[in-house]
Amino acid sequence: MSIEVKHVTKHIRGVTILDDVSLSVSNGAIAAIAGPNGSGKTMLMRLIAGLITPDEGSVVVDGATIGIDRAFPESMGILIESPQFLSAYTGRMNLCLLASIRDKVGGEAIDKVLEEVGLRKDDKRPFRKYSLGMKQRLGLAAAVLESPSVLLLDEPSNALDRDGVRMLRRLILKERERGAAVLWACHDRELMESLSDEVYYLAEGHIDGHEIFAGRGLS
Amino acid sequence: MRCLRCLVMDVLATLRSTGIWLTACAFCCVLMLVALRLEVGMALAGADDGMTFDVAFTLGDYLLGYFAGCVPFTGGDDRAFAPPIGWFVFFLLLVVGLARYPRESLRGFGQQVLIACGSRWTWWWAKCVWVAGSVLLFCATALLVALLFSLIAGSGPSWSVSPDMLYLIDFPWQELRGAPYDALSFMGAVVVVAISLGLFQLCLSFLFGTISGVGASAGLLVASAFGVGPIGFCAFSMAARCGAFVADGWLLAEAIAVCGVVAIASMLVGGIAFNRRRCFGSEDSL
Repeated sequence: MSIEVKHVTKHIRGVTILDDVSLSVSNGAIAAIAGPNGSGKTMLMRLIAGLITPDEGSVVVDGATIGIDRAFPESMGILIESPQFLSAYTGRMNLCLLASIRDKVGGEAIDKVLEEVGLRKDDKRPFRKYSLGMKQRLGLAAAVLESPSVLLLDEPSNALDRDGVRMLRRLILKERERGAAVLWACHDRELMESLSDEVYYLAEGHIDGHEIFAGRGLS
Repeated sequence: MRCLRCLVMDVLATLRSTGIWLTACAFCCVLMLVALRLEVGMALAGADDGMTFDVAFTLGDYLLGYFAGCVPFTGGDDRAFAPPIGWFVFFLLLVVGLARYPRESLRGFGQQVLIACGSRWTWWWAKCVWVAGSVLLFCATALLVALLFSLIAGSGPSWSVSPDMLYLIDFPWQELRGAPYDALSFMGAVVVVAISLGLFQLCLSFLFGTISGVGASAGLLVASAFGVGPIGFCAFSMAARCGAFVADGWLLAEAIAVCGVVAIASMLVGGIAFNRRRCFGSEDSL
């Protein structure tokens, strides 16, 4: 399993945000988290990303326990909340800067991923001039840029037009084909069920149901 | 290496705000030095007939406009506590400028940078270096303004301070050591105090929040001006308490030792606090 969440509980200022949540996502699988606003989807993603730590239970990503073996998963792409970048720089420059920290990919890969998400590599506009949809596309590009083994996407279809949703569908399927474990949350139920191999239903911080879609490689 | 790359990201992310901050610093420094010239001019105008003063307005003289400071408040003589305005404004502007970015950067893009760093300590060290670097730029800006003033006055970049200048700005001249006086002897302490104050506030902002951090730093500045003791380490940046100017004043080695302890403790405590911190982004108020 690439992502294993084991009996995780999280309280914040006396409020139980996640209550004994367990789930797993294997490599080359797409798992969705469904649930109403405030059910704990985003918090669960932050927990898997290592941005917060569980009070009980553990999160294991690629064999490493987050917060014990490693602070953050070694190979992970995230899109949590609305994407934010350095406002004075172009989208390409932002990706170059982000990629420079790990130094895994170069300019060619950046140009390729920009093309994949439907952005122009020679666009000279700074990020602050981008439309909401363009910002979302750039956020997706940043998430998949380094071909991560784990991909966490929180509401990736936000602000995307019809073409954008088609691009998102292609991108997620491509990531699965590559072998990434994809965990995502989406309010568009039709899109979510058409893409996902399995869905975890989250309600008031606990797993309320788990559905596996037959014929998509999972059993 | 990732720490260095994270630092580059910090520098690029703050280019504009740092530029505005340094411009504000230069503007305040100009005001302080103009006020110094007025103060000296008024003192000269009010001097008794027959008294002559020799003030060259060197770089060292102008630096007193920021860092003259005051002696500890002892009460008596029905005198109210009068904080050194120039010194207070300089350090308050310093802490206000440093307050926002480190915590704010944890939102949005900053979270991606944090994750890419792979370690919270790596991210934290980059912020500490960013604070120290920003403080150095701030001090350099103040120094540059004083240097320009001294060049305009035609006195050149001399660190020496005119004894008459100390008398005219109401320095605690009763406690003065004998001349010569040298501004370089306290400028080293100013830089050390400013860096340790910046790191102290960085630590507080991660422990208690940005506004509380600025409030605590302002309180520390007032306490430093008011009294003596280890908690008022900012007083090491005052010429009025420097051993090169006054008897029983502090030595540079003392300032480095105390500020070094504050800086190292701030980096360690702040780093440990950040390692336990939740990173929510825009839902930070949850």
